[in-house]
Amino acid sequence: MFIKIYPVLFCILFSLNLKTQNFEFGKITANDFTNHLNLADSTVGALVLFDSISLRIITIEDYFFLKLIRHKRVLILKDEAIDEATVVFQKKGGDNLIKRDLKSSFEGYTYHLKDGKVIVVATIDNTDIYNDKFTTKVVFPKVKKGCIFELKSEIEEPIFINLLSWDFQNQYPVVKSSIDLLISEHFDIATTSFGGEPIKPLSSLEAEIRNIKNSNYHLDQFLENKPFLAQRVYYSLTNLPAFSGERYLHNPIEHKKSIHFTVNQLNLPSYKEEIMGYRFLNVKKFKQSWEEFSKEYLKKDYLLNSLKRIERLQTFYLPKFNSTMDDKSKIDSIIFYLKNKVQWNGKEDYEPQQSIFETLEKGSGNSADINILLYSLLNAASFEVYPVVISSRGLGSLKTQFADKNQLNKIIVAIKFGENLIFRDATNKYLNNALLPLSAYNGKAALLKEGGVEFIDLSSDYLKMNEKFQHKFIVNNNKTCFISAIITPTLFRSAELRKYLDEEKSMESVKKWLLSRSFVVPDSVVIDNETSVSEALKIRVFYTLTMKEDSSKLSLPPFIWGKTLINPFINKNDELPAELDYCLNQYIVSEISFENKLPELKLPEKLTSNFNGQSIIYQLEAGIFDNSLNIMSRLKTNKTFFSSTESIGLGEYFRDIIKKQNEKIIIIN
Amino acid sequence: MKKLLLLISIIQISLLQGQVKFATGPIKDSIRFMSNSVVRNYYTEIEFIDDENYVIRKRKLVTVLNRRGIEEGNFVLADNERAKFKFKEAKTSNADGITLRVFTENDIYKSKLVNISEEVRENLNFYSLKMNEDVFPYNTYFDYEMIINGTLKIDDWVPNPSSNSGLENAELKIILKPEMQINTKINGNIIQIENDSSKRSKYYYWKALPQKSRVQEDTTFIIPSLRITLTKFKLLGSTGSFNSWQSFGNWIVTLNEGLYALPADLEKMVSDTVAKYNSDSLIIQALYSYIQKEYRYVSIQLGIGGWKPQSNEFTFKKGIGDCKALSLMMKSLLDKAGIESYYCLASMKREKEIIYQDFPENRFNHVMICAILNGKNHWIECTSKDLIAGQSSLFCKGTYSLIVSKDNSKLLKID
Repeated sequence: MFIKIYPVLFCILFSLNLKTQNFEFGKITANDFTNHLNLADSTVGALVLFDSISLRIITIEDYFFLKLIRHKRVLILKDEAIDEATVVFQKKGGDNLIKRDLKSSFEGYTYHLKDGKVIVVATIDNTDIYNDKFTTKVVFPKVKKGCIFELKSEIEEPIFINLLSWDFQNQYPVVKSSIDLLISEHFDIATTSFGGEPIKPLSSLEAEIRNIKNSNYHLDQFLENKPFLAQRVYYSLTNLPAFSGERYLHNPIEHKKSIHFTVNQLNLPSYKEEIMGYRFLNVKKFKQSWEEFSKEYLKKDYLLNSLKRIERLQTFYLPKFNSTMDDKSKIDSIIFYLKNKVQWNGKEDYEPQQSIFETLEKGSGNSADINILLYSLLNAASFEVYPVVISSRGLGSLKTQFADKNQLNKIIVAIKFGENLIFRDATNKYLNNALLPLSAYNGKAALLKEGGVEFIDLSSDYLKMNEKFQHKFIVNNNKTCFISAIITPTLFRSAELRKYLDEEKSMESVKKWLLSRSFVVPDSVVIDNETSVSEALKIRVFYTLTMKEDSSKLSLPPFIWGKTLINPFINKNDELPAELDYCLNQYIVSEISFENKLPELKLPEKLTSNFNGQSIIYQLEAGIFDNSLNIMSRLKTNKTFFSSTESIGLGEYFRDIIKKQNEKIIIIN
Repeated sequence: MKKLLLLISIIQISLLQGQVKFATGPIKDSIRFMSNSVVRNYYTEIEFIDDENYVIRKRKLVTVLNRRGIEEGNFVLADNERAKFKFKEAKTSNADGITLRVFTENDIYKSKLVNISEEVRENLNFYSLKMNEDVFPYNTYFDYEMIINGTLKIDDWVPNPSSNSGLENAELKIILKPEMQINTKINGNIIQIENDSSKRSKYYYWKALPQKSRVQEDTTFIIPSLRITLTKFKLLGSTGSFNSWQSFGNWIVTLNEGLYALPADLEKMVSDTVAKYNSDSLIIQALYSYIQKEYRYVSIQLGIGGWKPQSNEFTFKKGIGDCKALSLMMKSLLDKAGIESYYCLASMKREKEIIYQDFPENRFNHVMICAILNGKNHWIECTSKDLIAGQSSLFCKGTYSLIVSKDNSKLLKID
């Protein structure tokens, strides 16, 4: 994969003076102020002409540090983007390890275009650099609309396991973004990229370093002047559109074009010092493969011990099954037993904090305590079970390339059920047994078993988090309007309401839940009789609206459910009673959100061919204009947002919504 | 009556010794009603070492009744770089008062809140300690002190700001040197109990009356609080006075002294502008447009805790400035043009800081200009690139501003 070339060439390669990279992009010309404008649509505030970083690992007093050289050039197009010219660097510490301060230097210029000529109007000096305890701010002078500012920075930083995270895409469009990475063979680096198709290096050269002292590498004290291999990797992407997260994405950060480098392992033959608090000899492993992780996890005492205690579990703790129970009923009875016996303390973890018997005695524990107990009881009941480790929503999709323990925060149980696997969790007693907590539905999860790991798909496409809503309007003598409605929360919504009712079964609890769902609080509420978690829960709500004395019409608020507007008259044959005004203006929501992943619809053939190899972003905006509710769609082509194989027919989906919603709803003030 | 006197004596003795007993017991139904947590006892002591330094000591016992009250039982503190946090004790106990866990300073999660937007104006040290237990009810207790430099703004004493939380008892003790003076203003159900003195110190005591749980939506409820100012304050070596609004205004006048001088280029620009336009209104608008076009607002607070503006020369050279710097330049331009104007301290509405006319203090966090045009106030917001002269920013409209003028500073509502 890597190109091997002769040492002479490597010497040239590695002896490149770092400073020469500062001039990679050349001098600023008048064209820079105007020629790129076609890349930015008229709404963007700035255009990043280029943003590059080069990373080198250096040693200072026997400790490893990073040297980051960054070069950024930005064209300000609007006043709203002017704050881009205040560049903030977070201080990461680490200088307590060494005698001297970590170095940082900044060089910066502000350019204006005057009479077709580029003029340097300001050069940053010490008075433009503001240091406090936690940050360094570089504030560019003389920045205004139409100017370009340019920053070159050299910063020394301590090394963390997460070596570098680089966003190619950002708030503003980027003309060119690049990374230049030089890593010796002693560092085993894992690379993860996000934002569609994997980002591949433009060039990747492996070289043998012979003249260590002149190699910019500073490793001579560890290598006793022995030659070593190093790899220089260069990534570069051009013409990147601005990125904005969309509400329907569980982990929007993963759709942004970005790349992350993490240290797997450090292997220095004669290195015996402490690095980042780790004292090690020769080899230090920072990251594990999934196979290694699985092997280690399955050998943990808490799993092995629980398997050894089958008899005790069967005798004292396993619910008694009657002869008529099928496997599903047995599983349910174990889960019900656990949900009633052990209270979840609200903490998530993939490793238990106590033994299964401590959990049973204490009657509480974290999610791993409870689910390892579930695993043990199911095992005692002769089910074939496997632990499944999860990265919850918000922590990003599970990295399958290696096991990142920082990302793991949950464990559930997989049960072999005939030919299939079913997944169970016993933490949330309000949730139907067949459901996992919502946060667990985050794409891939790792099923751990002897000899390796199996990645399973935990997506929630089929789970609609909503309520059924039926309503009836009665207008009495043109003076009052009586509304009755039956609300049937389903799935996770049902669990939420059950939790409220469990704390206090009263009308007030239901009202609080309705408030939390942004629902108009009713005058009265009736809760259906007690139902088990496997059955639907129904509540009835009642409203009475009375006409104001000085008005000839009733004002009827629309119902807002979550952030979705429910028009009580949509899909109904009833005509709006003449006595009612539909007061959208009082309650209109500024945006419409989609909480679930969009259904998979094929992108229309025509669109696919028009944007061959590219993916497409549709933006949907809603607002009040000219006394009516308008919903507008906007299309942006984007090479990176979704890869062509991941396109999920957003256009069709939105068009469907627009078709439904585009009727003009007249607002009467 | 005798019983009442006896009760007062007991309270006094307890306070004078600085010892508050943190015994638990049953909570009254009226306080428990609708509460997720109850503050059982909250003792605060503020000791002023000198005009510039003071120590706050706090001890708080909270009973957490259910899951929704967990946050109230946890310890959270954010202080700035001029404060030093000192941990003393933290523990939890069950309903019977039996200790469940004892925490050490190492258990406290420490992080940094960094000035990354105009909302967060200071670099803050953030401390938090999660003290939640699994079985309800349980009690949390923590004891700490902070040594603070700078007496320009002393945090209000707010015994129980939270909704759905009751309060049984909260007391405040302030210790002063004999020569020092404080001003205070009570809001809501707080009473001053007693004053006392010794050769070396003066002591003042306040007590918050028991407080029932309130719902967040109840906007009619006045959250009990006590505002405190040290009459003679000192910040980073600069001394001022809160005796009156005039005296506080004079401190600002002193800070700004010598900063109004304009570079020659700007003096010429003003002369040209005055020659070009024949009305004050047009001159103000032209000078304001110049500021809007040529200068960039940046939120960097420098000089005497963020109160002393940078010089006009610096602003002119760099093309950047915070609200103080841009307002100072605007006033200097107007002075040169012969138009009467004032440097005004303002308070952004979103901070919800009400300013009382009879209580001089520093609740300001912004600076604007008020020019006088045809005898009327003409507000100028120098940080905006969109407004026109005479149009005050929405975030300050309707709030009090301190018009700064030597010996004549006064409060005025921004219209």
